[in-house]
Amino acid sequence: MIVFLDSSTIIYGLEFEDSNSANILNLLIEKEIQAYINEKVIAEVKTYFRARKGRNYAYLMEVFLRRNCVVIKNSELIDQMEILKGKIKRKDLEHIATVRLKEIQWLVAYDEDFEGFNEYITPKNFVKKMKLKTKSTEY
Amino acid sequence: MSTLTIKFHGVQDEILQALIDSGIAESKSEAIRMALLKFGLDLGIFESKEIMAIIQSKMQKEPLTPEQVGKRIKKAKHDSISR
Repeated sequence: MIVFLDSSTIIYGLEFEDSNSANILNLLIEKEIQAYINEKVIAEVKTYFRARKGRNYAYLMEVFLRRNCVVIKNSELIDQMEILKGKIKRKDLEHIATVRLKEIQWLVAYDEDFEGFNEYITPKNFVKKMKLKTKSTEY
Repeated sequence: MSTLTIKFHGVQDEILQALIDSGIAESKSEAIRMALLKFGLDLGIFESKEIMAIIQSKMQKEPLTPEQVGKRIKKAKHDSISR
């Protein structure tokens, strides 16, 4: 199964061990799923952890993500972003562009701004799709 | 916790200064901490599962509510928009 992992899934998975997002990160590590991200996801996660715990943790997260995910460079997204410009919020542009460029079925996120996109799925619903036991939280 | 006093000369000192000048690290101490982390990771001392466990346990020491995490994620997303 190939998915796009939004920073919300990654961050909730690290903040809450007992969550569907944490289960998804475990699936990633065990290579049960293949995850695409882009440079903006890395920037978002690093920005979050830099503010939360400092630069060392931000760096550790970058290593973790580059080790386990396929990272799409911004330069690959220029044409897709041009097509989508004005149709979606600026902060989500790179993510939808990545999903469309690579024809990824699922964008796993806990972010209502993605509602309306067919690819959007919450961590809980994704875990259900994988036919695994879900946690009570939506994230 | 370990406290060390180390003297750096020549090329090592130049590297430390370059790491600060380039904005990668804010201080020489931070540069050394990051370099040590990279060295350990490059050698494969930590597997991905261990990195995840380290971060999760650190987060749980200062837990946030899901709402607080959500707000911080929104801010990080906005702050990461390329200009």
